[in-house]
Amino acid sequence: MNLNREIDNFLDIFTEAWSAMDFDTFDNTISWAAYDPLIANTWTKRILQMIDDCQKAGLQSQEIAKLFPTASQLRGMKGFDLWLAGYANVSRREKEKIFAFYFSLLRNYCLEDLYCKSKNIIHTPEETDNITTKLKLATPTIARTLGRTTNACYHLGHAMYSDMHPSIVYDNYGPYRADEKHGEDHILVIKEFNNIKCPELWSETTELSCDSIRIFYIYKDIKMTVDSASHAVYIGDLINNLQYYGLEIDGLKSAPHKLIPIVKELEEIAVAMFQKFQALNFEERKEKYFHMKAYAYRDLHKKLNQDWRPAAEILQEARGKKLYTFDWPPDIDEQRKLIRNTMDPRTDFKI
Amino acid sequence: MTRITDPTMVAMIARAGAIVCDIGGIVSHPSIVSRELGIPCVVNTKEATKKLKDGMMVKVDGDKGEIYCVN
Repeated sequence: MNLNREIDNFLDIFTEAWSAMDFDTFDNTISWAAYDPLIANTWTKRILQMIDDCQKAGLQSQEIAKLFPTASQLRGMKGFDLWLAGYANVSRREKEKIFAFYFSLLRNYCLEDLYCKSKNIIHTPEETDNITTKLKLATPTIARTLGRTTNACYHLGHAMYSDMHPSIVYDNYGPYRADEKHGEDHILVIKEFNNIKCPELWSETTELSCDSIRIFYIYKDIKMTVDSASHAVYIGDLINNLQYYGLEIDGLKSAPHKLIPIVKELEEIAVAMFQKFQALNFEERKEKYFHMKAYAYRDLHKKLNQDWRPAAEILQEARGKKLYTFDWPPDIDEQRKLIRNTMDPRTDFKI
Repeated sequence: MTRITDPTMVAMIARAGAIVCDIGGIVSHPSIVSRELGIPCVVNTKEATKKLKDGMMVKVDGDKGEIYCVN
């Protein structure tokens, strides 16, 4: 690996995606830039320890990568952990170690476009061929039902794991080529929703009727891009241009009418959990957010026989501290420079 | 019409004919959820919540990013 070249490639792509966000939209929810620096030292120490523990346990990169909820969450944690390391008292060598760890996971997990400059590809051509043969004819009504389901799951991800880590629930994979089976200008998109039940963080999710939903879409004349911050952007009419679809609930084939009660249930619980989170006092809110963040590593810590929850010293580091105040420069080039410098493992940038 | 959408609006959004927000961008929450439902959305208007009032009839052109009062 040419480390400098890889770091520059990562920074180019992440800076572009992160600077495309409107940071004012985080005012009423959670912003990583305000919360994450509060635990910079203890969190970074934990990540470095986790990397050592993976090595000691002999875990391979692909195996580790698959223990993260989604490819987008894995990319997200790379960005967040490097951002945090920018505030921590750690050496350049240690920050580069974090960079290299995530690089290795992504390289062994993603089949192309590692940092999601424009697409999110983890399924092999054999897997996508297998999917495209099992799909059913779509209608605009079905497209709307699937759209409402997707939104219910997006909102649920936001409510359960904050607007910083909704990819613990969802990911958008694609665009995959579907022209061989379906003709020119057809693409396959796969939407996955996992970790819908999370009793460790929200006891009210224990009785929900499902834990995962997968939806497969064949679109005609739709341009899809996915960025490194997990956002899918489509150009075209997603309702009328949906040609075929497939649906799985908890791994079993299902039908759109079965989604109707599930969607209602997910919408209601998303509202209840978001309101519950907003009603927490400041100290409780910080603790809850750090638990949400730590949840992304739950399966990896389980594999290592470790507690996934943030250690007492992490919570202690944040306790009593005000949020990190962060005035984003109004100039977009200055914003990009700031994002790039903070995430760059080669710099000792401090604000 | 709101400053920005949030998860408490999930059922409301499912019934909405369009979404208009004061802030946000192409990858913000309202933009993402409106695309899924095939409804128009205009974000980053800065002042929609000040200029538009409850009961007003409006036409929203998501492609052009324009909102027209029709009554």
